[in-house]
Amino acid sequence: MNNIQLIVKNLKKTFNRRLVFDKLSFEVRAGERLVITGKNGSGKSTLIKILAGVMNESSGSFEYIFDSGKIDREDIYKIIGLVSPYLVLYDEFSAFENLKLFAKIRNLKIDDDKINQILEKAGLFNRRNDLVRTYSSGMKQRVKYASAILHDPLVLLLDEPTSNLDIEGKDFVDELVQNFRKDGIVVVATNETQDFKYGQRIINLDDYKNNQSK
Amino acid sequence: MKTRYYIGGFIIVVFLGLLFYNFTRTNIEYESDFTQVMAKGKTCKATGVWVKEKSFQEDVQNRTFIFYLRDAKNNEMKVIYRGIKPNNFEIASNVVVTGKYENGVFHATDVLTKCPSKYEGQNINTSGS
Amino acid sequence: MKRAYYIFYKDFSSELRMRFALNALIMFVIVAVSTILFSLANEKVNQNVYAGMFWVVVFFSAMSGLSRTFVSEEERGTTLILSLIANPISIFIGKFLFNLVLLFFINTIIAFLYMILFQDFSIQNWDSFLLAFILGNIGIAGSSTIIAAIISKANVKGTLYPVLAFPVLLPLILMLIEITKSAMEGNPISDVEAELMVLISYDIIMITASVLVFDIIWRD
Repeated sequence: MNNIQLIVKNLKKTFNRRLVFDKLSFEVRAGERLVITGKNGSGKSTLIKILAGVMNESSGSFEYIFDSGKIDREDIYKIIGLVSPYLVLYDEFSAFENLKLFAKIRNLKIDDDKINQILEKAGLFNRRNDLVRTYSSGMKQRVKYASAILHDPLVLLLDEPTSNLDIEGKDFVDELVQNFRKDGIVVVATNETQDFKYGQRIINLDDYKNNQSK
Repeated sequence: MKTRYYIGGFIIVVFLGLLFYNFTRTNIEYESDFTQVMAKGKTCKATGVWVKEKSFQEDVQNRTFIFYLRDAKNNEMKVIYRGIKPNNFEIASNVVVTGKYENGVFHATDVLTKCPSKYEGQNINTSGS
Repeated sequence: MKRAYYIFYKDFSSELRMRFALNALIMFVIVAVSTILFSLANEKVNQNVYAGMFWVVVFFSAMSGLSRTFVSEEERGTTLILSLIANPISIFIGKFLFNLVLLFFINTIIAFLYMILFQDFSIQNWDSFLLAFILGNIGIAGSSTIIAAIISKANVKGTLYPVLAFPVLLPLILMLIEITKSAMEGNPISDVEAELMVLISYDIIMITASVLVFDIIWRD
């Protein structure tokens, strides 16, 4: 039985002396969809980066439990898929080459058909062989989605999921989140009220500013 | 996770020791005993006195300079230097040659001359007062 | 290992398309070698000088080219995607391999240029020179990779590299010059045994230490 769980305990992040958030604790179980919101600069993206394992927390802890075993910090990248505006792809390669490289580096057994299939789902099939540099920002966003679901992750971290996307693209995201594996976790960081529909639960980071410590 | 650091730390310490040990070996040693120089056959700095009686040969065109050195125990050694004769070679009190002893000849890559300081005599005179 | 290879492959094909490092390196080598050539003209110079000048050019070409590996990722913002698809050790090994290949390529060119342009730069003992060449390249590639990783996270990328690299690479360069001198004089390999041992120890220390500290540098 696959059972993924995300446990965050007393998480705190400061940049130099500026506090971003403090005493952040929550749990997300398999199948749950969580929305994180907060004002600009409240630390939504910071939290997403920490949960993705690419940024260190200041104190506290977070862990992914899978089949009652803790997932090593170094292996987090294997189970998460991340989409965010600050994610930059290799723009000297085409969308297809990007995905193919990612599959190779991740050591996935995926053939070209599977990559084409993913690209088709993301609506990029016609331009899959053009360099990413020539893409519009909306198209780049679609490539990011393709690369995030390439390795069939257990956890999907979406930062501003619908930015730069047209209606069609938003429908694609809706479908993606709805059809995302039922034993997985989705964490969405957003300010758009229309994105709140993705989550069953909303955490507002503005509630985790410990002003007394200043 | 922790074991990785222990193993890595161990490797670093071992090779750091090896590095320093070999690093000290790379320094060229001074040798004043020519029998040692001949026996080792390694690159070293040999110090001795020029044998004036045997003079020297200088070949400017081929840039070779041949002379004899004598150490404190009166061992003599033929030195071939690929280069020109240093300026104050004749008045040198001591000669340091860097190179290697091979086939009965010391092949020098560098010749240093130690000259009697012009203050030396003065020193002895004034030291009494 | 396979992952590291594909990171290397990614950098390699990206380099072929974009030439981040290669153009700068080749220009530097041409300028440096021709300056030395013109200034020396027909002057007869001590062989030791050539050994020194060879490694000086190698050292500075490594400075100008190898720091690009991480800095270009950081500047373009692709660091994030890289850390999302691979663990730090594979990234380090992949980048190290890329720098190593780049260094071998450029240093072979430098050695080749030296051999045709300067008649006095003639290696008598190829065994010890080649050994020094290989070990030296591994050492330079290893230390420049980790230094590049450090400076890619710093604010003053350009100036920091030589400052950090000089003390780290100094013992390496000294040994390399000694061995090259000895190889040019045709001395047997046993003469430079101690120097070669220093090189081997240096390479092993550098790579082990880099693998250990890389993930700390990489996150944050």
